Amino acid sequence: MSYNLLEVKDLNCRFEIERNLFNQNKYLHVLKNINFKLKQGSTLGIVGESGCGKSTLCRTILSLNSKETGNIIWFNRDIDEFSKKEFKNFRKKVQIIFQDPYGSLNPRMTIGNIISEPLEIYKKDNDKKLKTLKVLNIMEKVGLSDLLFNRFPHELSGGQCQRVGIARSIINEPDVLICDEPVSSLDLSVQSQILDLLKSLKNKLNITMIFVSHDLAVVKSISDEVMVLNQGEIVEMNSAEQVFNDPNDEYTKKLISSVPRINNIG
Amino acid sequence: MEAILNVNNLSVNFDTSQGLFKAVDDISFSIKKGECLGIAGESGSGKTQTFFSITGILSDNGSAIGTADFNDVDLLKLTEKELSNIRGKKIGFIFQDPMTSLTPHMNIGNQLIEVSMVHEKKTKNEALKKAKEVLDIVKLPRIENLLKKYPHELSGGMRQRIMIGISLMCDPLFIIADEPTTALDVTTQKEILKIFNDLKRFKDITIALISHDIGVISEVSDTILIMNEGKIIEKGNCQEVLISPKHEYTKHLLSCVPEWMK
Amino acid sequence: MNIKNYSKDDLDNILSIKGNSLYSDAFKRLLKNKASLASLIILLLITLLSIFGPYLLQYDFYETDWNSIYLAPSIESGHYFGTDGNGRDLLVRILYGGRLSLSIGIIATLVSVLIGVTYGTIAGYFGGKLDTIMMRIVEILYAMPYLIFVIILMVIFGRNIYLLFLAIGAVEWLTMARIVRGQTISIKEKEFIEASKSLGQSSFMIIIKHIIPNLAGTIIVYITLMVPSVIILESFLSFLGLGVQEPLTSWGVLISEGSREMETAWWLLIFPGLFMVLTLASLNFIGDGLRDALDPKEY
Repeated sequence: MSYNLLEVKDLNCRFEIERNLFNQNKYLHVLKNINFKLKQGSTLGIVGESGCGKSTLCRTILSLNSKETGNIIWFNRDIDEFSKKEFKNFRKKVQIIFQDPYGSLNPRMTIGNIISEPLEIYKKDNDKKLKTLKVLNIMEKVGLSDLLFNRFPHELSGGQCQRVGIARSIINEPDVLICDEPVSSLDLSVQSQILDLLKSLKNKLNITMIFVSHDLAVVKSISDEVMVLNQGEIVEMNSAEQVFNDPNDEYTKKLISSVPRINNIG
Repeated sequence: MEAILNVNNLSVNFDTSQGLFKAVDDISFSIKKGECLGIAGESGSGKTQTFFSITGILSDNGSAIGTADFNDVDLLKLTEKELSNIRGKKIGFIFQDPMTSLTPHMNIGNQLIEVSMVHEKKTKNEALKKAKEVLDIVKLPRIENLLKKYPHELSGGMRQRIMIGISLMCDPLFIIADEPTTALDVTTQKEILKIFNDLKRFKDITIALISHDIGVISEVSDTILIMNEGKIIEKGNCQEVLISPKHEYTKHLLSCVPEWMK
Repeated sequence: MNIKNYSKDDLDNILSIKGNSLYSDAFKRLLKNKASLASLIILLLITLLSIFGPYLLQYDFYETDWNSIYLAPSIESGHYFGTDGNGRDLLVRILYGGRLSLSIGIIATLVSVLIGVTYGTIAGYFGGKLDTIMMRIVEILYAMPYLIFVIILMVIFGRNIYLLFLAIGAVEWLTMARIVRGQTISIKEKEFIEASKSLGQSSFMIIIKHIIPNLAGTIIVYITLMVPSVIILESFLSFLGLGVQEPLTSWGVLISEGSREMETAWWLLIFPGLFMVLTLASLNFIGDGLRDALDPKEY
């Protein structure tokens, strides 16, 4: 039976853009009243154009951003109430994959060290050989040759780097994986490989996913449910089929009709 | 129709610390006047370097051999001075990132008129008149207001339209657009592509549209080149190539496009 | 998760393949740069000479010989660089001075790097109010005339070489802290820092594992530029009489003495000057080469 893993309630988020002497600070409201529930085992796709707040939403869920008001509820408990130890466990269970495959890897570390970083954070008493074995196993799982173990990120292709990012995020067996534009900076053929990898990992490891992208086609191919964001607000949230085949909202319709299609040649 | 650009046996090499790297490998193609050529390929396929070499803006360690006849003048044989006269005047350029190709400390008006004051020795008033005309073509609203603004005050789509405007200032015959919509949202992308279609149809401007997105190319292009690893894999009528691709690589590329977008 | 085992041979095989780190790449490029390579060799030679040279020579740096005052350089007398007003061999004094100048340069720089990096990364990484307060302190210290600071230290604690190291280090760390803070702020924005944060890594470990290794390039370049400035600072203090004490000597002291007698004994100025200029120029060339090597245009 599926249950709610993560729940977001009335989330608001704003950034200060101007500060003046009299405390009449100007704010930019990035997220307005976001509400959603994430069912265990499902994939939630979030689409929207740049500046709609989709990345901010991801980062706020992970507490990488501070929020204005609202609650993030993990297994029926507000994460604000978590003790330091519980919060660390939350971080372990909710992982993120970033857009820039090179930028999200420390250029001075070897691939092996990058992937084993999460192991070192949570299980300090592990012996070295076991760690190496775990890393090699996970590398095999995401389709990386074990010969890359001692290589550095700049010696890898973009697709390989993204696989390293994925390996790092799943090595501690998370419950939720947030993918923030994971394929946007990759070539088309590499994109489809990475998407296939994510799909198969999701099934194998029983991971719940939040998949963020500006690319409707990509979101469509992977999501069960889709949330359309525009200027910080949810304009439509429904099953993927419903959103793409029979959109209710005007904005969604415009978004879908803007996608260039190969067979209506201008 | 006659060809405006005729490229024959063009190769581009880069001298790197790892030895000679062949970015473009002996390619030949031509573009007819008033048509749009789409160049599709993945990153590193040499699609950008092809046009950089033709217009002489290769980086220092690159060299090009072959011929590129533009209106019966071989661009590769021209001196830097002659080339810079053609570049920006007869050949316009539009790059991927509209933020970095605009100067941040100059307002939009000055950036527009600078081009035609330098290339065509126009007076400020003439240039200003032209600038307003051009901004009208790229469908920007409230032109008077806009001329006084700075690049960072504009959205990505507006900046890209300004870039197209700048390239139109000297009435070019030929525009090279290198991934012009990659950094933009889909709704903005659609508007930009519509401008390209208008330019082609009403202004009779020849366009080379470089993109990794076959969907974008199919919206505007008449003919298409598919490039991979510096070679032309397939060329021909856009519709024919995309509907019945002959080459394996083209098929592979098309198979990566989601079914829903076809 | 069940873990597949690898045989020992396989494992050794995998681990034996080493990648090229950005630093090893940079070092290779540095060695290709002829000016830097020559400078590295010169610097190494001067360092080795300063360390071992005095043992090979027949004279001692404090040994006065009233029979050979102001001897011009000559091979027969064994005073290859001549002697000074007390009849002391100049070559041996230059080499001893080199020991002191170089070690002041290196130790004071290390002290300032240690303080500066710690201070700068903390201010830059945590940002906000802490950053503001920490950087204001740096600015206040900057505004203090360091000469007075050094003189006060000397007056309180007496003249002492170790104090000199400390005093110079305490002045130079300010620049380091500023540079490091600026770099830290730009590195902090990178996605891999965010990635590490989202993995649950602690701030302390993020600084150690992710920020400092990425700062290292900048720090190394600044070290090569800071060592010369420290050596010059020491010469200046010695020139004012605040530096090392006789019979100990440093290049700064030798030059200041030499300049007083250059009309009668040119070698007293020329030779120590030559050593110092060679060292400083080499360090600057290495710094320049390093900067190019760490920031290659082609990639």
